[in-house]
Amino acid sequence: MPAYARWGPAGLLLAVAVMQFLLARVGPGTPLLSPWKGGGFGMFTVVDAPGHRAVSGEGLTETGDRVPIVLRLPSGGAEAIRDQRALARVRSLPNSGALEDLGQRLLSSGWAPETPAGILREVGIPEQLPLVSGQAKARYLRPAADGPEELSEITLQTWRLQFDPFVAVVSTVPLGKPVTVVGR
Amino acid sequence: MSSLWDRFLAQPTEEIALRASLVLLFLYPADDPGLGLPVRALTAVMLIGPGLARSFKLWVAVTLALGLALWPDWHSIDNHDYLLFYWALVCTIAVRGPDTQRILAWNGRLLIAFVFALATIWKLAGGQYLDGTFFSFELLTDSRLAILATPATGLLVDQINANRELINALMLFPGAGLTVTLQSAPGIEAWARILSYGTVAIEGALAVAFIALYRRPDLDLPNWMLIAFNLATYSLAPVLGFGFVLTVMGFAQCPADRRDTRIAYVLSFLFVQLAPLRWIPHVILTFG
Repeated sequence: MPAYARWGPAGLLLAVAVMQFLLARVGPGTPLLSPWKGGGFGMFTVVDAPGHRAVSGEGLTETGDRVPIVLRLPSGGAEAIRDQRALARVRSLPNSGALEDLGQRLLSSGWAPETPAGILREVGIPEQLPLVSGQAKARYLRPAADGPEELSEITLQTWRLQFDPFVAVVSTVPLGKPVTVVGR
Repeated sequence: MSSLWDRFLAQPTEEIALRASLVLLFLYPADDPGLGLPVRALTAVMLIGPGLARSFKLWVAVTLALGLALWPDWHSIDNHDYLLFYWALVCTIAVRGPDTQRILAWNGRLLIAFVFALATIWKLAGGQYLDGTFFSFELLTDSRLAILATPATGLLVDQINANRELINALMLFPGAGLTVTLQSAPGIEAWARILSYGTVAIEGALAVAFIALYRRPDLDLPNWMLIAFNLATYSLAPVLGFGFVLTVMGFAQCPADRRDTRIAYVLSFLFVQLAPLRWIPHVILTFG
């Protein structure tokens, strides 16, 4: 059996897995890659799965107001799939390039006003409103194809969940630096 | 029934392994629809056409399509898609020459050993596994694991679902300074540590067992360990592509004279495919 047949595929698996471990644990800078992704074996090992990462943001409206946004992306259609892919990338590897790409996509979208109650109602958990009232802002903007608002600038930041098993408390901590994207 | 099995298993192992690999790639092609479709078309042709399951050129095309699907989304694609690519590469190399079965068996064994060795290393070095942090979080928020949490600690499925809602609400407003306290139950932490240590021990043992097969090919225990692992793991977390590729690799390296073991591999494949129905956890939680 030739050497490439003996060691080629396993060598490739090992090389990718080592790279993934370095990117998810060592850096460069703050390690941004989710341990669950990138061809390694960190899934079902840490809390920091892409599904446990969230993106916050703030948009600058045409009237000069800075309004927090909620990233509930519209579904359906090729553009929506591309937006979802950009968001998936930001969740798995939130480097500045990924955040800028998502930001540019979001700037081309329309935006509709939304309240915490409306957002929670839409995802089917309105009973959690007491949790957010008082801390969350009263008014948000969310992407909507026919939304009346336009944004000229958007700042995005990725967060990961942090879990303290001794008191069963979960919070969000920032992952990397916020990135501001200005409309072209 | 027995003669059916005998007729099926009378085919060369490499033939069954290659065909099973094609079925695997047909069912779980690349996530990218633009490349998933060609993979499906190619594997369908290879399954139907006489002798095409051994076509080197078609295997190259399938492997290239899988590789191209990985490239742009390497950071967000599921890890078993990488494993599918490596296995397609093995099949491509294997059909090129006369050593097909030896190459499939050698690589199946080695890839299984590496998968479990690397999973063990991540669990030891990841920082949230051995101290129970990860498993505590999962037991409290993932209703698929109620089968583990409820009998041992009394934590109810409703509580787990309520915890999940809290997490969902928290993630809608990241950076708003919110914190949530999950509903827990006595003994969760201790149980999480037991599960963590148990999983590390099992996955580490699987890595050692499959490496040991290179020196002691007469051992059958590693095969049964892998089959048991697949049944236990993928009935809780139905990552079907992962379960399937492990089964195919396990079957490919299983000697042809192990009739019962090979039948168990085939049955475990069928079992894993039925896992999304979640009938086992349902039965245990209802009657347990």
